[in-house]
Amino acid sequence: MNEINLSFDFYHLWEVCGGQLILIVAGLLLMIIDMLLLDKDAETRGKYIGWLTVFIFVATLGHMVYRQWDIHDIVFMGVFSADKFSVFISIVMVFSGFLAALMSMGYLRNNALMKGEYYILLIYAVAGAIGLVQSVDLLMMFITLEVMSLAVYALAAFIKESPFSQEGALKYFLLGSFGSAFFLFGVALIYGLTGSVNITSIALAISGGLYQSLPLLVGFAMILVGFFFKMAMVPFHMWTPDVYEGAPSVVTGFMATAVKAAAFGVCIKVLYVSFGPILANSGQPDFASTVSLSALAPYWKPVVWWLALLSMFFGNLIAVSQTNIKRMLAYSSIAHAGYMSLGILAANGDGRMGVLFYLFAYTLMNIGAFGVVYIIDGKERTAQNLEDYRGLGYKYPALGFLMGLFLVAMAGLPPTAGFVAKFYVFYAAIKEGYFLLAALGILTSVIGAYYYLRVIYMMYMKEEIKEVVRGPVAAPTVIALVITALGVLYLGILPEKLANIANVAQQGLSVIF
Amino acid sequence: MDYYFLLFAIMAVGAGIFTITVRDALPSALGLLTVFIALAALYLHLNAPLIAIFQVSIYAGAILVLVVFVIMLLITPDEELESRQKNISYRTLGAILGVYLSVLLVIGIKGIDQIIVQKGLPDGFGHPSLIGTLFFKKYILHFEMASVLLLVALIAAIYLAKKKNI
Repeated sequence: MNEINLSFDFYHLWEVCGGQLILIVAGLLLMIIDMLLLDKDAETRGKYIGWLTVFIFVATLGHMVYRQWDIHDIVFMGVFSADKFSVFISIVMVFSGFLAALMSMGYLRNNALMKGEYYILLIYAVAGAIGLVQSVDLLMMFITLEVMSLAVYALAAFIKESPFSQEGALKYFLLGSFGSAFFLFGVALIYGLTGSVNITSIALAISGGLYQSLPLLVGFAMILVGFFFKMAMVPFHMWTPDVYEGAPSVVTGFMATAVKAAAFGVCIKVLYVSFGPILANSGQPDFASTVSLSALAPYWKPVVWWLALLSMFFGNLIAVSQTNIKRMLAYSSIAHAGYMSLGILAANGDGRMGVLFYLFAYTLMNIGAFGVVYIIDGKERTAQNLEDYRGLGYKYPALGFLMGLFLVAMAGLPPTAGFVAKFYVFYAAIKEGYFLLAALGILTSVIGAYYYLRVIYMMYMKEEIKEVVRGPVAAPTVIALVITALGVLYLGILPEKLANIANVAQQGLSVIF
Repeated sequence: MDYYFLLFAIMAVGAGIFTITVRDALPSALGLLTVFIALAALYLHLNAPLIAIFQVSIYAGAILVLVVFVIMLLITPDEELESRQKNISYRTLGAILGVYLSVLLVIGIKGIDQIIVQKGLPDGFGHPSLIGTLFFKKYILHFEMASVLLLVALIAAIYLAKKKNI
């Protein structure tokens, strides 16, 4: 009989997956704390749990920034890795969770939804997202993808009285399961061909010539389809508008940033490490054979080229005709996914750096915008139409300014983070010779500017026709809005620092083994 | 030609298509049962008896019984039973299922050794103890993360299912 002795180094586990461990344990503790606070009224309970969640996210952020960023032995049991690329994306996602938790306190109070489960699900969504980005094992990717997705499905359905929330969440659940099934089928094919689920082993196994076989290409395509679903690229975007419109505003902000960041991170990781020649850059003689994987580029590059173009065009064009601001932002997030995929298409260091920078900048501006949307909304769905924004710029100068700032950033005008982020990805694409796509992309961002600036036009140049009273503004939301607004401006004026960090992070991708 | 594989693969796909196309709940559940049994037979074919047992006991045994119970609670069988018994397509399907079942029984009598594909499998392949060792050694993190997945599903399901204002 085989005896089971666990060769389990707990210190190493803590070093590599500390962020996930903190969040998983904290989620368990919060459930108990929520029970202990049962005798308090909902308001106080929500406040306690909310601030505790914020504290947990700050602790996780601290662990990732100060410890996980420079560890040396990065792979744990061939399942999780704490390379700089994964850590950077994890930091973006934890930051997004932190901002969402801050805003949620005000949001849940405005909608009388003060429930402990909300924060617990938020914590597990972030834990799953970190696990997804950190895993270097396709099977673990599937499990953590489901942890993240299940938590987000429930968060999207959190307003139980609202049929829109329920409808969106059900659509998200069905189409999300469909996407996950595609991914799992792809993993099964790849595992059957290579006998391994570890992404570096797969790269080694297929570099010997297997990369030309049809079943491998089918598996590769299916894995990518699974990721494109989560990234909301056209034509896998059908769920996005309904889900983003129906879900609670803060959750929408979280979904559009953290879930997207996770999907982009893991897609880049699998695409470049398993199916690209990046491991050959590491200088290790064992991985020199992976150079041959550049032969796969003619297969996936045209696909990403068309998906990027379609996402940019459809996202921006359909957003123009939307009257609901959350729906408009949903289509705009599809367009942003298209811009980000330019960085993937470029397949060079600048492109990856651009995607990382874009994800961080997009997190700031998108969560900020949804924060303003929820405050103006008051109770969900009272003032979400563009007509409701008429004249708000003079009635609420601070909110009007913030909304204007975030929308200008999303339109990609200087001096905001959105401009710099777009600049980096377009620069990377042009450097690789994608002139036509870059030109068309810039053209679509002009269309984008129209509907972003239309909101600002409504706010400052139109007379109010309907009495819109904003909801009460909670102190934590103010903190979150100030952080996002300052971040958007800071990154727009002084982007070098983050760009350098992102550049170091993308180089970490070549040493996953 | 791998006739054993083809037999049960066609059965699984055909029953799967039947499951999603039929408009009646109960035949749909029966189609699903057929899919599960066919998959279990394919697992046996791949020398994974433990997985086959799991497939039969968990999917066909537990989950499908739950589905049928729900259907039983939702429909009133009195008026439908008559028409269902006379439906010619259900009778044909029943005949096909019966043939498959007898094939399975014959194979069972002949012995499992003949249906397993032998391709130089490692020693003890498919043995439950080996699966346990893999679970607690190589795939321990997957095992733990799956428990987190179940926990999240539990929290989400309880929140969505419970009544308002609790």
